[in-house]
Amino acid sequence: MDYLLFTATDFSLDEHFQRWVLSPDEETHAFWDTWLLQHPEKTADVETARRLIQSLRIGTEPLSETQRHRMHRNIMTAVQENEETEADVVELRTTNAVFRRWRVAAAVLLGTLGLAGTWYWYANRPLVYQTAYGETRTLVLPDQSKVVLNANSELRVRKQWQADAPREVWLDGEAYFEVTEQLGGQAAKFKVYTRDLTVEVLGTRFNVAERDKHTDVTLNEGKVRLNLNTETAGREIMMQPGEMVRFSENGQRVEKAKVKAEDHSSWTKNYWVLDNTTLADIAARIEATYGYQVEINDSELAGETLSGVLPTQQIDSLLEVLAISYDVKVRRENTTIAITR
Amino acid sequence: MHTQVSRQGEDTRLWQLFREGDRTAFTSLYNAYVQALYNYGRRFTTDTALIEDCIQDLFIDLWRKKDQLADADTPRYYLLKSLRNRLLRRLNQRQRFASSGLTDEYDFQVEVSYELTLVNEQWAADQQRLVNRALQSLSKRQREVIYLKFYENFSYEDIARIMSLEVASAYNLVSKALDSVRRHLPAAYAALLLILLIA
Repeated sequence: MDYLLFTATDFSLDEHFQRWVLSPDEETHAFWDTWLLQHPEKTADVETARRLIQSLRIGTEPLSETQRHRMHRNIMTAVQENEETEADVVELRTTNAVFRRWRVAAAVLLGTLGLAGTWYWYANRPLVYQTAYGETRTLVLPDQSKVVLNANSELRVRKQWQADAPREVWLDGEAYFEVTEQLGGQAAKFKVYTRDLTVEVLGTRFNVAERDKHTDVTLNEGKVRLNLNTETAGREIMMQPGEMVRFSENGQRVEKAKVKAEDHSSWTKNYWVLDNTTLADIAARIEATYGYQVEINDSELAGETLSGVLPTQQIDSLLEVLAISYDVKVRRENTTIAITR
Repeated sequence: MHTQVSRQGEDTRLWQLFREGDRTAFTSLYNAYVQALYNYGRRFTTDTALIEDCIQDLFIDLWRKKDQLADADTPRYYLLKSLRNRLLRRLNQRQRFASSGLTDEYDFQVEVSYELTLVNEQWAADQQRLVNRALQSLSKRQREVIYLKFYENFSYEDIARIMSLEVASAYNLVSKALDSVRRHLPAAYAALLLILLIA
């Protein structure tokens, strides 16, 4: 958890932080006191969050002794009666511990076989990796670099990797990369070619997302160099961890921003992080990921911004969370999703 | 506000003993939780007789089914969830007779109340009114997550289990509710609040 990037709202939502405010113990005290000493610049945010939580002192009325005793008496009377009628019922409790253990072992074995199988299959396939709508895939490249391919995306990889050539892949869509470090020569370089730009890295973790109108590169760790596919070719941008570069195709515009990089690759862990994201953006993302057509007929609703998380493993839970969290009605029919107030 | 963290070890031990048929442990569990259950019930309805009824039934059933209860179940979340289900079922039955049979119709009311110290009495009363107005503007689900999160100090996971939601929904509901409350609070008041709460 990188608390340095937290806003006041983030703090007030964090369970460790809440524990410190509501029922502090030695552990939370030690942690937050030290942390604040090290990061005095976060004092204002922490105080705002703390006050917000403390302002919610909900009042309750104590139960009277009479009520407490009355209920207890009634309960114990019923328990007594129940005991007497059931005294001769034989207890049948079997423990399936042994079976359960065997089942776990079997599952582990099958899982291992499954992984081995998957690896074998990948190794013998022509190296074009595609994902369908709603599917993500984790790939291990010949150099042991890891790629998580998001839904509706394609990654092309050479079948033979030369020992002293740059490692190269071609991406349509979105993918998250964890690139291994290779020492010396040309093989130290790892290049991702996309419609708008080329990402060139050493060893690092980053996310590349081609959207309709722009391409986003977010760097989690390490260093990368971007070569933009602009008319004035050869334009280069160096990126630092925690930065996102957005390249807009038509306007040839480049924006650089500080972001929470992990949020941009959270889809690899099956959720999306919303941070003042408009409903229209979420709709576009659902369309790109799951292949549905999303309709929001109310333009005011489309512009409403949401913060929070959405689980992405199943479209149904995603829609349910969306509906419950943001008080909207979501209807799914065939290939269309309608969002209304 | 309670400190539940320290209770956990004790609770697990009581739960274990109760499941083996120990009535003293059963009574201890009752004593430890009856207030929290009553508080929670009162958010749904003002009918205290109905709440008492549901709490009694809950404990009677608990004893009856003690052999089937899971080991890992932590009593606190389990008891609140169980009371919620009972209460909503009973309230719904009533509603069905009164109007149409909507299953998701329930109310959930929360209000804050501050200790009024002499120095800040007027100000605290104002503040209280502001926060209560903010809470009033929330949806029932938002009020309920606020209650479970900041009064009962439950984890998002437990809140999701109690309210039968996805964990993400519980988190988002808290996030949105906090946002609204924050918008209702003028910054100047917020600064004073700190002084009051520390005093």
